[in-house]
Amino acid sequence: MKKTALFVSGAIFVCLCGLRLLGTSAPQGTSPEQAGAWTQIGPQGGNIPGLARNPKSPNELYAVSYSGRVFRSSNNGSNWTRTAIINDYLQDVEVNPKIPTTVCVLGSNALYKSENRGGTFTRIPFDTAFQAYNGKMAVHPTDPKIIYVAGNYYSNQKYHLAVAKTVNGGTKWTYKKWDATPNWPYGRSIAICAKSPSTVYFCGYYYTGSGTTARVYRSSNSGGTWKNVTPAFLNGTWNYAESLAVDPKNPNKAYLSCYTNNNYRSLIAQTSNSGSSWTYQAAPFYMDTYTIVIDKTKPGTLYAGGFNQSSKPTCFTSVDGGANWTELQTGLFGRASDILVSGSTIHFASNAGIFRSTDGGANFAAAHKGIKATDIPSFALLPSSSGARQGASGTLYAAAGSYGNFKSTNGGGTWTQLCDFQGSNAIAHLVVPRSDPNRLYLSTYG
Amino acid sequence: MGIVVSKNGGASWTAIKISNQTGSQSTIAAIAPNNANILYVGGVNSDWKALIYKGTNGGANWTAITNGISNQPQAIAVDPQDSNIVYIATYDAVWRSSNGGGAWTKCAFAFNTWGFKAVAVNKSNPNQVFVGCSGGVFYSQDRGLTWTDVTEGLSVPDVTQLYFNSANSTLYVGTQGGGLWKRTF
Repeated sequence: MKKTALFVSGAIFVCLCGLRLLGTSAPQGTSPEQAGAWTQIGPQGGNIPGLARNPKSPNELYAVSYSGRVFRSSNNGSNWTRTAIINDYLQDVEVNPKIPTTVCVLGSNALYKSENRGGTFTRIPFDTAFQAYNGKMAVHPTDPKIIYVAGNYYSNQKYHLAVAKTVNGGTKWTYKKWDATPNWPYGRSIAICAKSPSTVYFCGYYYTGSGTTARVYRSSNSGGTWKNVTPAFLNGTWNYAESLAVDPKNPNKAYLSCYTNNNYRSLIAQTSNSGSSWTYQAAPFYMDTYTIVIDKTKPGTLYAGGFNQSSKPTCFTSVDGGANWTELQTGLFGRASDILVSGSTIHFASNAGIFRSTDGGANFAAAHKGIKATDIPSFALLPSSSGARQGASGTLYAAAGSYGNFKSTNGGGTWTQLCDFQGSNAIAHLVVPRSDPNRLYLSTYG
Repeated sequence: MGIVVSKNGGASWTAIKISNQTGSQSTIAAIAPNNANILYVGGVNSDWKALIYKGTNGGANWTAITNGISNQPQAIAVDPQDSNIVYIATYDAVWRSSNGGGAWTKCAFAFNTWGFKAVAVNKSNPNQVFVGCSGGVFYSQDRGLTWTDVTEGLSVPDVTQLYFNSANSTLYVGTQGGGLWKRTF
């Protein structure tokens, strides 16, 4: 399976230029349906790149949408309230482990800090040369003023994979960069060892003009120096390093979600010697993954989100440190972006929404009630045939990107998912012929 | 550059060539609501510059009507009562023609905005025209001659598609990252 780029640099700047300045603390609320007032009608879900849990109040969760929304749940994801709008493309969210009313959100070119549980945010900009599109952040487990961000840095007319680091909550940032390239690089993931926080791992990939080169770096002195520990099987072109997890009790042990062109497969690699050598799970088990996490209470238990061999969204799990994997697939949609694990409860975030399992991953169900952040590339409305002007809201069909198709017969008041669309390719367009409303035509990306 | 046409609900399709330009491709198309034999098709050449064609006789004859539009067309809408009044959204502008594409006038907006992706016309009252862009929605009550910003309250302004339902005077808006919205006019 050949992977595709997440973005092209030109498109990113185009999108940014198109953003209109928005407030950073708009309250949640639904406007009444009346002339002159906009009403947001869903369907619910969205592109959710980041999830976080309040460590001192485990039922309190935070989620961010790529479109700049911050959401909070006080009941473990059953319901969500939008707490703020940030004028940026959001990538990740973390809760301060010592002061959990403080929440940090990673944007494309800034960190946003809230001291009132996501109600309002202060923008803490990076150097303009540093960008964190599709990046992640990691907060020091005992000194939360220390934050690392995976991204890229532009200097001397070249892009670089890069890490931004602050030791004072963002007042000052320092940058480490590698791998000069003329094309857009993707710093994808960064992870700190809980037991030995001076150990930090970074991964990403960059375009060379003739393919992609994957990179993994490790620092054992809090980012002072970094060593290239890229697995040998990722040498060459068209390789990707997507996500990292570090054993919370062993800084020498780490896991890497990656794709190797050597035998055309995605896999989870693991090292037990600080990256000096890597192994991966036995073939032919197929895993196309984009995020990997460790159950902090059981470091041998791993969860990885991605697609299975049939391109269905899947959460994989291993209970033996990555030697063997099992698919936990039921009820998932979209391309995985983040996973939270707390006992038998698993939250799976993707570009379709948030999905929750309370039975250790045997079954997942949508858990994004209150989140209206879906991408709608296309929709269709069949007006009511009654001809009545009042209440003639007709039937709405909405293509919700990777979340499939939805239908509403009450003007968007409620929605029904039309089909079990779980492919890896998002819907680009839908058409419903007026002459035959039971017929639906779809085109997809890829 | 060409289009494919079905006249039996998609059971079979016929390809129609519009242009012989190497590397050209069509991206959008619209049929005049009051005359199904008139089509407008937008696309790009191999340099991703705009190509606009008008088809008559159900697509048997084609005339190039690009006439100064340069950026890739994103959406086309035709006035439901006058097939010569055409709106084309490109990334940088919205263009209006009152003579079937013989000449285009760039629509003026109150502030500098771009990323136009959608156009909708009220089929019952074609004076009402709407355009959607990365910055929100603009509304005309005089067939596209003047425009008012009606974005306020639409907190996800990155518009992907518009549809005006004349039956309940409601504009439906698809967005990138904010789901669907609606508002009555």
